[in-house]
Amino acid sequence: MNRHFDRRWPLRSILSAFSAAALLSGAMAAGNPDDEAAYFRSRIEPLLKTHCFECHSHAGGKAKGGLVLDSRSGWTKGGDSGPAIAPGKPGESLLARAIGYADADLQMPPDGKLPPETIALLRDWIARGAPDPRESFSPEDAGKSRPAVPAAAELWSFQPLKPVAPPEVRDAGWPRDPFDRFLLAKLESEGITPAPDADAWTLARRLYLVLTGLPPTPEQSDAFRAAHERDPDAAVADLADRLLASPAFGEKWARHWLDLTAYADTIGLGRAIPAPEAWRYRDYAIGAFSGDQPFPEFVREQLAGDLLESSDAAMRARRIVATGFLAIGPWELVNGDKAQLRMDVIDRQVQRTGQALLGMTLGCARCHDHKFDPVTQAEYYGLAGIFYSTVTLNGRLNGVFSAIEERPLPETPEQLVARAEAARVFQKEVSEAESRRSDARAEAKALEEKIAARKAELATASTTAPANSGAETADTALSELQKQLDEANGRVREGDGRLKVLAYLRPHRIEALAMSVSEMPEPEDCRINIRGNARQLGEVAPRGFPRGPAWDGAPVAPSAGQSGRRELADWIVDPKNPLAARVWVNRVWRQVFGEGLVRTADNFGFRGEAPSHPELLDRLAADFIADGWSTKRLIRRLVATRAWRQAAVNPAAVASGIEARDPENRWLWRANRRRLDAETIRDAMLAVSGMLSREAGGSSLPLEIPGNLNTGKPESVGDGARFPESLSRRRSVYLPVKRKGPFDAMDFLAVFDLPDTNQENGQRSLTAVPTQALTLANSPFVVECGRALAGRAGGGDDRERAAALVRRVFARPAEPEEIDAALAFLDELSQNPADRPADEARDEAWARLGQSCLIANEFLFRD
Amino acid sequence: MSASQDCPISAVRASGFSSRRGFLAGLAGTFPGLALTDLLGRDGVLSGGHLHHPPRAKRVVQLFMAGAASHVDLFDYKPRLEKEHGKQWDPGEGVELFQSTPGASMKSVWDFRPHGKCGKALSEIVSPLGEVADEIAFVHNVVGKTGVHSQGTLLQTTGFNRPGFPSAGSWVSHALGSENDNLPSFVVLPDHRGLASNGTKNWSSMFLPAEHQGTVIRPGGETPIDDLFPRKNAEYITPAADRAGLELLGRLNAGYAAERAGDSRLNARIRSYELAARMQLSATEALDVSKEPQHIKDLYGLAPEGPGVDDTTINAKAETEFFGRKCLVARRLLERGVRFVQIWSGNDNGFPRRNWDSHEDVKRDHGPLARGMAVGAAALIKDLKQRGMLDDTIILWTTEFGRMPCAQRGVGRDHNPFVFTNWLCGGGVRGGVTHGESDLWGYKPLDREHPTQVYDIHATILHLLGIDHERLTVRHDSLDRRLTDVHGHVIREILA
Repeated sequence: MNRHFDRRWPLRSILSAFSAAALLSGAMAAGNPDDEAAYFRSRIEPLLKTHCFECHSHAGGKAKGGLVLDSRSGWTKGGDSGPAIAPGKPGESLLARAIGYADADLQMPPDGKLPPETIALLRDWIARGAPDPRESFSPEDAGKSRPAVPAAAELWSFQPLKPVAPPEVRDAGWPRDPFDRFLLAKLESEGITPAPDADAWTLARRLYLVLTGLPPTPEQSDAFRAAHERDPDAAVADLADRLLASPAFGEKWARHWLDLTAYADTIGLGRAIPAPEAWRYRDYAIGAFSGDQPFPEFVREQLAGDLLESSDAAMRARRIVATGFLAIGPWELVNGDKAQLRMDVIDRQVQRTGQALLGMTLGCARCHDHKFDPVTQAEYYGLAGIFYSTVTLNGRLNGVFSAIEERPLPETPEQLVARAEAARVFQKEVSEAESRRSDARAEAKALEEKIAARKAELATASTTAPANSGAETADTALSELQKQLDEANGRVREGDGRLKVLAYLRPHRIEALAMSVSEMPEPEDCRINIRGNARQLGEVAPRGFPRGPAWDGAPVAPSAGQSGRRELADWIVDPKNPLAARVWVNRVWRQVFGEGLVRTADNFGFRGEAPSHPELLDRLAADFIADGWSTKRLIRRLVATRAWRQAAVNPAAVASGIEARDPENRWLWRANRRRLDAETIRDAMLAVSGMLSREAGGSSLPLEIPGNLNTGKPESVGDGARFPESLSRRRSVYLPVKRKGPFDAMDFLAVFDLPDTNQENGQRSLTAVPTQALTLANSPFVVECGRALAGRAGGGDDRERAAALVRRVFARPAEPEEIDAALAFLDELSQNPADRPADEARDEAWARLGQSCLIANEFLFRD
Repeated sequence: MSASQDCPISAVRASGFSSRRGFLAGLAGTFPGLALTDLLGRDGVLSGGHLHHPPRAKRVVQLFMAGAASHVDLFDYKPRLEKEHGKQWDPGEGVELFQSTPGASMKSVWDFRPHGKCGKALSEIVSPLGEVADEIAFVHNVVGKTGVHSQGTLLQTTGFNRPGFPSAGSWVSHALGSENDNLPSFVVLPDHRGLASNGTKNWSSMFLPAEHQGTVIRPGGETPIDDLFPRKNAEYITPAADRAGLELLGRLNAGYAAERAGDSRLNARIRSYELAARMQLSATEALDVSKEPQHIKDLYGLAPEGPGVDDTTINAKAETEFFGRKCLVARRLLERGVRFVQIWSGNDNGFPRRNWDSHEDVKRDHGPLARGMAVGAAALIKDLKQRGMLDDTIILWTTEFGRMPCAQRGVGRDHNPFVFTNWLCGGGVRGGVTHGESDLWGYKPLDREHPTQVYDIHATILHLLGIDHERLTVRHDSLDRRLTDVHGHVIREILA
């Protein structure tokens, strides 16, 4: 708020307003033109620049309502409503009326009334005859009048890391990790005691959900609790190690990364053109997290994997796939303006790189210099040139439709053997479809001949008996033949469609392909697109890296003869780059703690938020780098902190009034309670109801299922596509993602705030809207989970079964009252319906019990 | 709170109103802190006396012709094309088409004749709108930015031709909130044959709060609202079980929240069930057109067969039933306080064609679609008028772009993003006027320096709602975002 206020009303202009007002209140004689000019330049022009020029000047690029205020002639001529100022007559001046805000239809500036002192100054200026020495607009003034963006030196995130030693704390027994001391020192200085440790049940569920996105089984919670009783620190460390090593970890954490890349399995927002090979990139990301790939390597592979030396086929293939980071996006392949399409793709690559890796909103500098951060349009196009020298779209899919670059992947000998077999099976499929079609054709031909013969027969008959003119329609033999012909022709058309689909699938079956990028034969600098228009070209912007986050010895541009992607990656993950490590550790912190130290995880610019604990952030980043940029080891440290192990309630702190001082828990005086994200809700429901399939990897698009692909060209997959049953039980990360909205069969996730599939997003929202209630209460998926859950509650009497059910869902022992309530519920429901067998009614009651637990807040949130 | 409003989630379908007090009624007293209306977004950021100026209108209907409707065959009469019909079209400059090369000039498929006191010339195929021509303001010089369906559609629905921005309906909902406790403020009635280009992105709230997202309703469909009720095949879910299950859920949630005092999100979720239950009742009632008198059903052109009417071959009767029913449902929703209704005619690309993208044959597709649209839209205008609601309801007719004055393969037309038509009526719009003209052929604006853009249309609609389009902003990605980006002028010439 303060920040906003400061921006709007720079201190300087307020001061000048006051001093000028003071001057005016005295007897300031009008007269000498030089004095008048000086008065205008020092007192009035700054006000116009600050408050009006954005919309009414050449510098602002706008003449709202036809009015410019950067020259005398501008306001004399005025805008659509006539002259803006009547010199000497504030009462008749539109400008005075507008700033006075008296008239509802004419209020300037539109975003809020000026302070009274400023209004008084402007009115006085008009009353004095509106002296204005600016005869006409001069470009020199334009240069000066752009509201200055603060310099790079003023932006905290551009400054080098300054890791300091953890502060001293009074309660030396509390911290488990040096990170804890930064947090505790702040709490102690505010006189707050941290929350007590969370109990073992809560901690186990938290660990499982945060690290793997799946809740613990009753056995797993029990085991953790036993270990926790012996030694809490060791129990947490051991479990963390085990969970980090499980495949579920990669599946959970890669999904966060995919959010940052706007991953999807289709390409544009128009017809859903499949991206049949996108899944390889998804699986790459999962593998990278599972394998704890050092962050610099992860970045290098994604920006320039095709350019890196690889020691074997598997590594080479992985690195080509990794460039899917750049190659996969919401491209409008259908756009006939190929120059614009190319720049639109490049824009997303610049934006995505900036947002995901640097926390910079580089896209804002596409049409003009960044309005808030020190990024010029030339810097933007310097980066754009790197991707301009990179091939992303290549050739045509069909007619005006562009095609994405798909590269064959080197395969290992084993893969090649499997590939040959797959190609053989595929070829057999094609041959069979062809022979089915030619059979149908032959059949149709034979039927046509029969029909012709029969018609001839009838015609002969009708000449002999002219009264019988409706012979053809009445003839049953002929109509039977016609029916058979229609069927045969139907099979021919079906065969045509099937063969078209197979032809489309062919390259993906006989070869391993990946969506990837490659180098242009000759790198080429990009010219500035004036106002972002690819057909209005300005100066050449030499390829280069952003200048703001600079350090001693930092390279500023790639060397000649290559696109510069590889060097860009090196620049980003240089240990001296102030952004990459800070941005990434903050993202990891956010995933683990539920909120970032910098809450605007995607924006480390002036309009982002400052870190709550700047020294801790730098310590985290520095330690992360020193520890080999290992994400797993960072996570392991974070979950071992005492801060993370706090309970989600802190009655003592609340009693001391903490909620008034820190309502958003920025100081971490308790754990953050979080609603589970979309995938975790779905996965957890599948898991506790025993329906989760642990099948992993591979293509998710059901292109083989007949009817799913439109057979027109180019192929697109329908909204109502059908999916194999097995897919619906896999973890959510493996479900196909469509850009124009979910597939009909996959809309559960969208209801629970899956981010827009076309936007890079590191900060999901978590909402509570009535459609979620309807989905939880009525969707077949949840109903089915409830039934399955009830079915696996185990043996024993109802009491034991109910206790087991509660324990399975909430990962804690059931309270006696809960069991009582559950039993009462079962009895009530079982008695009710007179029209069905008792055991059926009882089963239904159990299913409802299961579903009620699954949709309870305790399941949907974690403490 | 009446008993009917307490009825929980699925009891309605099977048993009608329940007389039993639902568990939610009991809970409602437990958490007085959170207004139920928070979940519906009843309070907009400008509601409660914070409008920028006195409004002329309270609600909006957006009629969207997916696939790009031809202005020169419907609303924008071009005698020049009649004269040059069949001759090679030559506008005197290079022409770049989307998927063809310029063919011969092609006159409108249908004759035009004047209508109303204003004498507006309309195509015979949309003649039902002639009876309300004096209510309508036509804008014939609207320009787009691209001939790509997805981008053109997004530009009209969100004001940006790239993804990531809230729908105009979401902005209006965000600003004004809902007038109804039980229904969403922004409702979308898509073509039942499939979503248009961009799918759900055309009504997404994006960075505005989630409650301002358009709620999809499919009038006449088997499940008008997703998961409003359990699926029909889930017969074991009886109302009694449902109610008891939710009571149990209520107890579980109450217990959980009691140990976590002060967490408004938990209460919000509890309340969301109450709201969902109310929505079941209200939506069911709002969508039930069976009680409408026959003359109203006839006015909207509903078919005796209902939504199941045969459309194996595209035909006017079926298209009128489809569009007319959506218009009638829209009226019922508006009466009940829904703020913004988006009605779609046409699906995304596919064959056989069921949208306005008439590359192959204007007459074949535009004929039935336009007739259905004209009957439904005219009925909506008349019906709102006779109920006194036209005065404060704005109707906007739009499409992603226009179609070319020249033929594509003889009887079709290619995309024309350079000029097309919008029309508005009601809610403070001056009727019987035409603002902005296209050139002799309907190829580009007559005055190329001063076209109308979607920003101007949106600015005008917001203006009529009492909103200054430059002051309705939301901070996102470090920018103060507006529906009108950095553009837009209120079209004062069409204000009443």
